[in-house]
Amino acid sequence: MAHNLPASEIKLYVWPKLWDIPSFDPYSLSAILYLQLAVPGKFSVVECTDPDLSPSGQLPFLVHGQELVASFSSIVKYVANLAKTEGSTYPSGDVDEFLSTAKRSQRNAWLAHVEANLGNLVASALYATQENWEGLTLPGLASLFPLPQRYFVPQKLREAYQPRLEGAGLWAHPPPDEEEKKKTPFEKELRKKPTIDKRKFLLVFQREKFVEKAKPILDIYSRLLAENTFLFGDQISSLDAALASRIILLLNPPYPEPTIKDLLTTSYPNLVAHAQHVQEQVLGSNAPSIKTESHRHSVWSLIPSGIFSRKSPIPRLTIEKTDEERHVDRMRWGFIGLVFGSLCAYIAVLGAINAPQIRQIQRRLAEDRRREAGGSDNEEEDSD
Amino acid sequence: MPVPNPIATLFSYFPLHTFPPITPQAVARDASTPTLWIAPPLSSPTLSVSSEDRVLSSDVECLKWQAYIALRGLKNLKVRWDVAAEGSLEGRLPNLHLPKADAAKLNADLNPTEENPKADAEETLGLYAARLIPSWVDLTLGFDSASDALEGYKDVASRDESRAWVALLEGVVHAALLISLPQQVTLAQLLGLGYSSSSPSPSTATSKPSSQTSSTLQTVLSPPPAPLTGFTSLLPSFGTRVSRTSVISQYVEAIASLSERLGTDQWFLGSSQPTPLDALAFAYLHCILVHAKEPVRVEVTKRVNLVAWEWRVRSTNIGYIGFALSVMTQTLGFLAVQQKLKPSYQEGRRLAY
Repeated sequence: MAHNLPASEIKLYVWPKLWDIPSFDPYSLSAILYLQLAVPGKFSVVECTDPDLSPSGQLPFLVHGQELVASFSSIVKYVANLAKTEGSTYPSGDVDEFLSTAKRSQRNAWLAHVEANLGNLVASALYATQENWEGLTLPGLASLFPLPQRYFVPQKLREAYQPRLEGAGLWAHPPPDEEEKKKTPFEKELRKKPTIDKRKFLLVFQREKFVEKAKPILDIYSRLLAENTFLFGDQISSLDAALASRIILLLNPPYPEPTIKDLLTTSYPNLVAHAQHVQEQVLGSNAPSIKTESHRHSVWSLIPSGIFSRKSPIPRLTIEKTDEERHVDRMRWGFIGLVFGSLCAYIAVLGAINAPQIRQIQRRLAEDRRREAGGSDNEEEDSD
Repeated sequence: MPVPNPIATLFSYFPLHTFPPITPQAVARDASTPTLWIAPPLSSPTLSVSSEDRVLSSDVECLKWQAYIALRGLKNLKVRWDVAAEGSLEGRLPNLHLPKADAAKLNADLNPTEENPKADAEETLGLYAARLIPSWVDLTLGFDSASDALEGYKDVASRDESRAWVALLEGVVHAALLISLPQQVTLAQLLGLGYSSSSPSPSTATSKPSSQTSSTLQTVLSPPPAPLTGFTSLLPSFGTRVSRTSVISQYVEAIASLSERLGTDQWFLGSSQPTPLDALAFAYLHCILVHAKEPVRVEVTKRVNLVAWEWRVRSTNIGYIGFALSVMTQTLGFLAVQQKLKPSYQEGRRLAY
């Protein structure tokens, strides 16, 4: 079987840009930062709002020829492997090449910690805090999706994070609506009594709880980074990309509720400096520009992909068939045609054999109907 | 007004029997020894015949606490597994059941400022959730863990690194273990709609409903898995879509990292004494080796140092303690009302017929 393979270009499908950040999703942003370090100028970013295209159902995912790789750690592994298999094309594919085996194992553990704990903080800031959700995230996400998805997809994305954040104690339950003041004849008394704003208390309590959860996590990274430029010394690694992406998402968006942003800028300047340094190095003016395109939205996305499997980001190959395969195809279609032809012939023959009997039955039925009609007419004449 | 005779005769065919009321026992029977309520161990052909293996829970969370207590050096602890998770505190096992004297001491330790502690239902029972087990262990051993800022690790960097390993174990390793446990094949899987979390087969001890397994995967995986119906489809969110390939690939790397980090050390991160990380790692390794299917189990068996470490910890630390096997089938705690109701119901049926 001969394959006409298209030129293999690395395409990274990510959630789109928001608030001047290449992607609002921390995993997508980490993947962009990593690819910009590993294969600068040799990949393109496809802004996609259909995560169902991905084999895991989540963005980001990478397409390289016929290969489809989902999840950030799998993307890092795949691109690092390219440095070994296609070293001439992707010489710096393995950003973590300088790490020893022991350090690589630590990197994997830290990556899990960043994705779990720091990721929870980012998700809490974006989805859990009611003010941020209503004032920033929901309008931002809704602007990315076409009709009718803008009315239900952002809520689905939020609901996906809710169990995780509730388990971590980072889900902010909305404060109760203000109760309607009952009308009483003693309105003077009501005016005298001081009204306690329960909503404010709850919001302050939630903020304090959030800061209490965030501090131990940020302390760990502050100690890990210490006075170094990067987490593993002087060289940047995939862990730096993962950490910086989350810090950028906690700092840059214009949150209506800026608790975490204030906490970072006042108490953790080294983490802020690290994120800015990584951003400058990877996405700054000196870095190669990233080719960006948008994925064309399809109406088929309204149908679950598992049922019809119409969606695939991998381009179809033009495969030339051999003579034997063409012969097999011809025989297959011939067999199907034979089956249908036999069925039609059987029905036709059966109909032909039974046709006289069918005509006889039809004549009898017609006569019976005429007799009944004639009998009722005679009865009417007699009654007259 | 007297009942007419024909109607009285008709009613005589349907006699009314009145049974005495069933009152749950309000006073709980005091435990004579501290008892840990756990999820039942799973009978498996791969399990060894030794009694210490038969008391090790099949649930990672329960086994983690069993290992923690054993590694802290506590003895004379009983276990029981005849209480369902729904009957435990907060709906989750394990729970710790203490004798009255020990419970009073623990309550005084937890609430030192209270002079006359209120008699709460839980406190009178002496039943505590898992998060209070470290406090009880500290009290029993006379050791204050809070005074040790390093938490048993050799330095601050190791203590911080332990958090990372905990995140790795409780993340992708836990997810791989969940999807590798024996499960019932669902219609969604048969239709090729991808993996959907389903309830485990009846042979497993922790018979979680599919919704609970699904919610566990949603809390464990990063990022949270997409719904089976997809984010962009018109259908409401249903099920959990998990890419087995992706999870297994990350799990393989996680186990390789764990093996590399352990090396030939006696305890993880080069600690001189067992730490909570060791208890957690033991729980996961044991559950994978005993309960998981291929390829999850094979990945651990390939790492000789992990297998040897698990065996050493089980035989020398956990088995040595010798958890006394105590299966209390005649449960008389107030949480075991169901057990009391069953014989009463059967007696009622016998009298009726």
